[in-house]
Amino acid sequence: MTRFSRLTLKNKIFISCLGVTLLVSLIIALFTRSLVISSLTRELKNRGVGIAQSIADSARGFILTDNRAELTSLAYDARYGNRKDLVKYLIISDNTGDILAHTFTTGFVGPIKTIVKQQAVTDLSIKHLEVGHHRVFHITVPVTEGIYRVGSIQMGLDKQHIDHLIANLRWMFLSFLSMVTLIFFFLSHRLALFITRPISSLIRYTDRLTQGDFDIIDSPSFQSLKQELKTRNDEMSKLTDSFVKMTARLRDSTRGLKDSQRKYRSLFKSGPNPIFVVDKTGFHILDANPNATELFGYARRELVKMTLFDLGELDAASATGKPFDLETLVTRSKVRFFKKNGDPVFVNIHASPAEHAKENMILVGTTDITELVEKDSQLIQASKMANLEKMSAGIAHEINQPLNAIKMGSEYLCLMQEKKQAVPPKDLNLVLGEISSQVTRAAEIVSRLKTFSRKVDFSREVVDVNACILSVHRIIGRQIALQNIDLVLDLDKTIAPVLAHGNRLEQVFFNLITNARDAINERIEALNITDPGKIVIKTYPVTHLVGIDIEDNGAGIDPDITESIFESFYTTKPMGEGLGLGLPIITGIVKDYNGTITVSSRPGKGTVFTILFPVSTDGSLTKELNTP
Amino acid sequence: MTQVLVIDDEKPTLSMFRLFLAAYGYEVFTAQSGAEGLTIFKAHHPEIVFTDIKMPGMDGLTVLKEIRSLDQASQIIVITGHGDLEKAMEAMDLDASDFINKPVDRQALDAALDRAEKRRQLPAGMQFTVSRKPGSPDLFFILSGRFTGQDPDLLFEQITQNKINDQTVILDMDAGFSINRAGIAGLIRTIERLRGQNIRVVLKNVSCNFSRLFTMVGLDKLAEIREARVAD
Repeated sequence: MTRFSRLTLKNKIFISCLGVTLLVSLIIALFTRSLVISSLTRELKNRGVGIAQSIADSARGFILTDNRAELTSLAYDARYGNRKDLVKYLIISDNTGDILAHTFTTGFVGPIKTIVKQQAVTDLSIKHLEVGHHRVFHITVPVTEGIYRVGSIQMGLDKQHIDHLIANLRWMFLSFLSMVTLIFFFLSHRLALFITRPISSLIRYTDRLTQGDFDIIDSPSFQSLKQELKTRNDEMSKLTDSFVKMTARLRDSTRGLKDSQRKYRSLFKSGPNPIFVVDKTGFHILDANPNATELFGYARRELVKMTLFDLGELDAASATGKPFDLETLVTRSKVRFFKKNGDPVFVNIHASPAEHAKENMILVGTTDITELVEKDSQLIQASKMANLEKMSAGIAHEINQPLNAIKMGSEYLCLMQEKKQAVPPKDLNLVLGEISSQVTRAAEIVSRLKTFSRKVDFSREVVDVNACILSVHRIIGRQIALQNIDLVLDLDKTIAPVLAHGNRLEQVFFNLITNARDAINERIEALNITDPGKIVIKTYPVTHLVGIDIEDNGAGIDPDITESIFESFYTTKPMGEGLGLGLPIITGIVKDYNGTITVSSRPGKGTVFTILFPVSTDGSLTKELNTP
Repeated sequence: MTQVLVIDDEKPTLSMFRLFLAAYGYEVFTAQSGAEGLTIFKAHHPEIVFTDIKMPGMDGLTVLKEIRSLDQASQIIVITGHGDLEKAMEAMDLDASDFINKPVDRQALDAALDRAEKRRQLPAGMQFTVSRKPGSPDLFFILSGRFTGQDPDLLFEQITQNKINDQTVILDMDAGFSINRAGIAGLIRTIERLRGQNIRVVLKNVSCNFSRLFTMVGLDKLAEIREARVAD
């Protein structure tokens, strides 16, 4: 059965038809054989009986008269008459079983004489006998006169002759059946072809379609097939019609798809921003547009061997905000990537999930913001320098102090030298010690300034907020004190570190402290409230956050402008004294580290700026976080 | 022994002053704040006081005011940051005897001490006077006393009453000469008027600290400034 199911449809139809034909022929042959042979045999026997009886009628008189010559001629007439093929021998006997006439010319053969003698010839009988080499049907017919039996006619029917007739008949029949089978063979073959040829044509065309050759339905060969099938108007023609319709629809939608594919491909290729296609599981780069290869300097074949994370400082759960989940559009800003030659590139990242060919992918669009980041850092730097400039008189004063001691110490030594007076060892030690320690002091001021004014590099570090505040305090604490402002540090030593740039945080605190100082001076000068100035810097832990309050008892901020102070170019200072970029830049820095800055103020009483930074999630710091 | 009080919030500076002044033969008191300085001043009434201007708590100008109100005669020398013209002017208005720049160099310190010593001999609160040096062939005037906003006309008249034309006038500033902010403005105006009459002005015997002040306000472009020599 399995072998059959593996056959082509054509062969299935062909073999089925042929099988059925052969089976029917076989049944007919078997049936005919049994029917025809038995009826033919019976008919020949009847005929034999008929001949015997007609001889019996003719022979009656001669038996009674015992006319042996007539009987012999009668026997020979029958034996060699028109039935000579059938009648093998003829014996006429009287009622005692004595043979009166016979046709045996060479004596009796076999048991004939015994049979004739023993025969109780009262009834008609047919016996199967072997006479010599011949097999015969031995027919016995009684000869009667009235109710008396006078003799019998015994006749041998040649069985060989009958067999010969049957063989002839059988042969003819077989020939006929073979012819029928042969005809059916051709017919079934044609039928199979008739049904399967259009199907195999359609299969061939479908194969071409799968290869994307949709123009096949317009080809002349297909059109002729269509015409040919149309005349048939059967299921095949309907199938072909459906096939044509389906193909046309398929062609149209495929063309549409190809058009849209081309469109998106060109968008992908000529889009101004680098775009990557990455897989969902490993962020392996599957494709990158020419802009991506141009920006990063990698060839496309190099990129497809990399993951997105190989390009720069990005990981699935980067510190900023939500993890890189795949359900929604995700953005990351200011991510540092690297070109092939190692140059850093800052990018904003927009990632959105996409599904293509059952594969989950992410489309990652990047925007090169390197220039923006550089400008940003230049602006921050400029703001820092402006701040520093404001403090320059104070800084000059501070550097002047050690210089003065050094100058005076050395001049004193010169004086004593000129006067040729011995310097008492105690004084000499004092002067030399002082010179050395004051040089150190001056150098420290210079190095603090250098550290403060240097430009920051991009990578964030784990920063202790308290240390930043102390560092700013070292730079401007004394100047604030010189202006009779009490700078109080209330630092909680248990606060966790944050992820930021220490230098930029210093800039934030520096700026806020100088603002506080200005506010106090403004209160004293403009509002004439001469209470001593006080600035309190307080750090404290909040859940997962670090809080910093910078409080002054200065002039305060009018509630109407509280919102505006964080806007760029908003300033209350006279023309030329400030660009109004201080607080916006501070806000920008704080936001860069995912912090917030808020202000609360009472005019004439003072202002509190509150900054909150998220605690650094660096693993090494969790211990500190857990300590109460 | 002349007593000197030094007020400065910088301990190293105080140590150095102490060594210097002791070497010059003064009796030295030091104070680390304005308040401490005033207490010492009240106790000892030193003849010469050095005070830093920028100090936390009571600043130098307040100390100057307080001491002036206690004692007109004491010589108060303020120590200013280098180039801090505004503070120097304020100090002059408050009748500081002199000022020196930080970092303090020996020449300036010597000059200031020298002037202070000389002024100590003179009566306090002298009016401005101008007199022609007797017997001098040149137009040589000696300026003395405190030159304020009222005095430029007097100076101009004194000089121009001598019929001079296309000549050089030498103005000698003696130890008693002092000046305030309005005085400097008046002096500039006077010199400009004289220049308008083709008269060249030489300022002679200018204390080295005043010389710096004059240079800062631009007087050196109008007149020749000759600094006083301490040895004289």
